Formats: sequence, structure tokens, C-alpha cells
Amino acid sequence: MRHGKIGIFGASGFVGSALCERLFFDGGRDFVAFIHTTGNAARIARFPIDIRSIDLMDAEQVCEVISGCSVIVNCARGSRLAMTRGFRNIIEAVKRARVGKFIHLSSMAIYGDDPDETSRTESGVPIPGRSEYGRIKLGQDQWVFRLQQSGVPCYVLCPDNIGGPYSPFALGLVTQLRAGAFPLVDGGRYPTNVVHVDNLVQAILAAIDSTHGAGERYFVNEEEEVGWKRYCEDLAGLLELECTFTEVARDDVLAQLSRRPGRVGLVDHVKIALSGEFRRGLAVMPAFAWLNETARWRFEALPAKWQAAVRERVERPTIITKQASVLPLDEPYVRFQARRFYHSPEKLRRILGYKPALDYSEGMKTTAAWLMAAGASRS
Amino acid sequence: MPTQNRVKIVIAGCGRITEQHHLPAALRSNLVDVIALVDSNSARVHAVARKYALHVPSTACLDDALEGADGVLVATPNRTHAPLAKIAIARKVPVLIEKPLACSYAEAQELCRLAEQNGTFIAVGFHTRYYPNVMLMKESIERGVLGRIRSFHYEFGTRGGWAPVSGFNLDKRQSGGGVLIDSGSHFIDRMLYWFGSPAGFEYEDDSYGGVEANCRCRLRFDHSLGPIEGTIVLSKTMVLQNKVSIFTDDYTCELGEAEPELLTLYPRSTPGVRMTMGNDAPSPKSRTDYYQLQIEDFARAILEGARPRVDGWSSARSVELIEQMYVRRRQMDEPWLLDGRRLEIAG
Repeated sequence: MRHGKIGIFGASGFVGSALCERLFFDGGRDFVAFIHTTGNAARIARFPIDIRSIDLMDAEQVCEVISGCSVIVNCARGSRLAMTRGFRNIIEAVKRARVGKFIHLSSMAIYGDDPDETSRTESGVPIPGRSEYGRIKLGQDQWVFRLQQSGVPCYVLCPDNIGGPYSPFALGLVTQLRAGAFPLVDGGRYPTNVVHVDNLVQAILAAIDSTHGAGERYFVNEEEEVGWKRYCEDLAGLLELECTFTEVARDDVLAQLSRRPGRVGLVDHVKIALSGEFRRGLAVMPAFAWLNETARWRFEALPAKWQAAVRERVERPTIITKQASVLPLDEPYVRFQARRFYHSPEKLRRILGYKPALDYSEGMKTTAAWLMAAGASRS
Repeated sequence: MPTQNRVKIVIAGCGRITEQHHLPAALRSNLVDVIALVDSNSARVHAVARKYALHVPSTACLDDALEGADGVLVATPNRTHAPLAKIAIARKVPVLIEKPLACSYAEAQELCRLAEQNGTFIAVGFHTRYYPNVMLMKESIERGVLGRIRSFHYEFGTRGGWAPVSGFNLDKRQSGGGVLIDSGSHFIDRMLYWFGSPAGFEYEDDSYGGVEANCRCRLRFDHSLGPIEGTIVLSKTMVLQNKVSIFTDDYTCELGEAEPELLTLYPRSTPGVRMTMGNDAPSPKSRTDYYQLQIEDFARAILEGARPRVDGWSSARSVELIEQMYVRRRQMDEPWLLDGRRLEIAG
């Protein structure tokens, strides 16, 4: 056995499952899979491995399960609370148990929707902007770097979109490609930054095995820079899908992203409070139901022209929008395409000795093979 | 013996299926009174009882709860179905056992014989047998109204699935298997009901010693009306079409899992046309409604001495077939897995 026991949080998720699968097939490493619910653990339950259901919000339970692990890999996602308070419970438990190594899966979302040129390498300063997920992940990274300062060697791995077998990203993309004209931003020339899940797992294994390079952030990406148009065409070709594209300008996507949601003022709040939906909701409380009924009776006792005048003031207009013929510009598959820069895995290769398990074309074949089994190529 | 027109039922097992379906179905039925809850997890019993304001005795021991019971509903982890059912049967109390009847054919046969020897009966919880389209299909096959059946294809897949409170679904010893015995056993039961036992099959799944998440099966039937070929695809990692398509000389017939009241027909003679068949009876509206039909069928069997719609022997056939599938399983090909050469890079 190399190392001691590896504890994997989020083991039933997409990346966690791929890691467990690889560890099982490779053999030679002792590991335990920590999951939130048994309902999502079907992929890893295929193996006779140690699987434990835990509640990240229960600090004591987290401490208990971590003791005995020498490496912790965190692939957990979930609610905001699970990713903040639950995550801190993991960090505290790792610190207390003096775990030998902590590997954390971060995200390129920490650089926001429109990362600047400095994001080509890890030297760029992460600015998540309005992405809530990005802000949470950046907050997690900061906790990890503090853990490093307390003496636990930590590695922060930063993938962007993740492809490969079982990939929700790949499945969603095929669904969009089949749905009709797929919008390509500026001809689909910007890099996808989609890393194959087996290569991400390879990066995690490199971090587990490395004796140096702790306390750093590492981008995880394919070695080959691949644009969106090529990626979509390659995937469609492998699945024998007919797909068509429509041109979208990057500036239009950015304009859409910078548009702030309409503000809701005091008058709007009053209109909502007077609306039938709101009053019907509150009417489950008997006292309010009585008040509501009294108010309605008094209102109906008013002359018709006064009723009409009140209605005119408080009724909100019904907004009817045109049916979307293509994906809206703020949809993830359009938004992602507006990112212009390739995030190089050079540091990962140089310091942690990372070598991808699959090259781009091999990876696409495995992705397509799984998508076909999942019925994604069927009409 | 039951008094008046209601039966007194003991529910063994207070997991998620009891909480979400069996208990609400029993509580609203005019044919059933729940008289006790049994579970080894006392906190769980109390939580379930509190949720439905149910004030009945609770115990960890089924034997202690059987006094005065007309029937027992067993909804516990699969491996415990047979041992618990035996306790009730030994006291001549009829049992409704959540599917599967047992984890082995030998155990299923033993239960059925024991019930016969004790003058009682077993019903099995295949609630999908109460779907109107399942009954309509059976009638249509028997009357030959859809033309000669050539083949069928069934697929059911979800990403993730049912999460029992005890987590027994991850433990092969407790569950007896994965997606086949879990969601698949419902279709196996329906398939046997419609077409009888297969003459042969080939089965493969993706288990590596744990419980399978995906499986595929090809079957052949020597039906009295001619040979039928069928395929079954089940998954707990992929969303599939969740329907059975039955191909006859005249139609493609579809029964969707989400539309249990409808049988959809696509006539071969007029492409682009879709027809639906249903029956006049009011259709149940929710899944719990079907659980209510099921427990009321069990209650009527007790009250009237009738045969339950899904009895022990008919369910034993599905246990036998599933067992044979596991025995003759082949490893499912997963062409997306890293091959040996690539694994050497990691090693």
C-alpha cells in the first residue's frame, strides 16, 4: 500500500466517483468513500469498497471519520451551507487530526465569467465577480491556504468544465447540439478548457503522490488547446449527429452578462403584498384569512369606478416575452464560450509531474462511447 | 379473524417506502387499520408515527406485535423479508411483502410452501401491477387485438435513485443486488405477467463485486402466439426513456412509466398517427394511490378469502429469473474505461 488511507469527500459525485473507480481498478491504495446520500452512490457501489454516509454539518462526525486517514481529497459540492460551514468542518477536522495531506478541488469559476489574460497561468489574481459559486470556491481556497499555513500540506486543483464519461457538462452540450442551431460565440474560436475527468483524476493522483509543491494552486486542463467549434464538431461527428450553428458576438454575450436584474422597489413590494397570489398564500393563517376577507368585502362595497382606479394602480402588468429560438446569451453553454484564454496546466506538469492519462482525441472517444450508452445520440 | 369490513395491519419496517407510500396508503384506506409499527430503529418508528399523528404501539420485535393482527406488511431491507414473513406465517397471519419476495428462489419457495402449510397466504408489493395500462396490455395480448407481438424493448434509468434510510441498497448482502433486483424487478414481474417465462436469456451487468448500477438483458419467449424477443436496459447512472415499447405486426405500443393510465399506439399502416387507449374507470392520481390499491387488494384477500393480485408463487417466478440472471451474468463492456496501457502510466 502506498501512503495511508485516502479519504474522499464527495465520493458519489462525478469527480469523486471517477477517482474511486480509478483507485479500485489501480489497486494498491487503501481508501474510504464519504458520501452524503446512498441514493446517488450507484456508480461506486458497484465496487466492494468502504462507503460511509456522513453529514458534513455534523462536525463531530466529520472528525470521527477523518481520523485514520492520511490523505483527504475534497470533491464535495452541495448547498451553499454544505460548501461553507460543511467545508469548514472538514478543514477543522483535517487540522485536528493532523492529516498528512489535503487535496482540494477548486474551480476556474474563481476567475469569474470573463477571466482576463493573467488567468493563462496561476499567477493571475482570482476575481469571481458576480458568480456566487466562484465566490464560494474562492472562499474555500482561502481556507485551504490557511490550513497550509497551519502545517498541513495542501494542493488546490483548479479545473474548468469537466468532460468524459458520466459528465453532466458533455451530456448537456449534446442535448443543446441536438436541440437546433447552437450559438457559437465569435465562430467558436475561444478555448473550451474542458478537461477530461480521467485527466483530472490523474492530476489528483499526482498531488497524492507528490512530495513537494504544496501550498499552491494548479490549473488542470488538456495539454492541447481546443476551440469550441472543433470540440462541438468532434463530439457531433463521433455521435453521428447533424448539428447546425448560429453566430453570436462575444460583445453581445458580455452585454447580456453585465445587465443587472431589474430592481424591486417599495412600490413593487406593495403591489406584490396586495396581489391575489400573496394574499391567498397568507390566508392559510386563520387571522389573516379573516382580515383578507374583511378587506375584500370592504373593497367590493366601493363604487365600481373607485375599484377600477385602485386596480389600475396596484395591478402589475403581465410581461409576455418572445419564445427563444436559440439559447439565451446568459445560458452556461453560451457564457462559457466568451472566455478567451486557455488556462495552462504547465505548472501542474512541471511541479507535480502530471502526465495526462488520455490525449484529447482518446478522451473524446471515451466521452462519446459513454454518451452513446446513455442514449445521447438517439432522436 | 377480521371484524366488520376492516383488517388490522401491523407494519414491519419504518423506512422511506413506509413513510412515503405504505403508511399514507394504509391510513387513508377504509379497509385497513394500522395497529402497530415494528422497526429496530425506535427513533425512526417514533418519527414516522409523529409525522402522521399515529398513536399505536411500537416494538422492535414482530412477534410481540402480532396479537390481534389480521395481516402484516413487511417493508424492510430485502434480506430480512423472508425471516420476518416466516414469523407472521408461523402464526397463520397473511403477509404483504414489499418486492422482492425474497433474495433467493429457495427462500421464496420455502415461504410459499410454509404459507400453504399454515393455511395462510402471501401477497407481494409490485404496485405497478395496478397500473391501468399494465392490465390493459394484458387484456390486449390475451384478446389479440394489437396483432401478433414480435418483440419488446424496456428501458428505465435515472441518475441516482431511491435512498433507503438504512442505506441497505449499497450492501449486496442486504439488498441481494442492484438495479435489477431494485427497479428492474417491477418490470420482470410485469413481463412474466404478460409473456410468461422466457425460454432463454443473456444478461450482463457492471458490478465488480458490489451492486450493479447498470444491466442489460436479451430474452426469448416461446409464446403460444409465436416467438417474442425482448431487451431490458436498466440504469442508476443514466436517465433513459423509462418506457416499454412493444412491437406487434400492426402497432408499436408504448407504456410510459410516468403515464400509468395510458397505452399509446402507433399504427404501422399510418405513420405519424398516435392513438391512446385507456379505460373508463377513474385513474389514480399519485403513486400512493397505487399503494392504496395494493393494500386494499391485500385487505380484500383477507376479508373475502380471495387470491391477491400478486401472490407468492407468481412472485417466486420473478425471484427465480432474477437469481438465474445473476448466476449467468457476464461482465458488461464499458468501452469508456481506461485501458491497461493507460493504467500503467498511473502505476
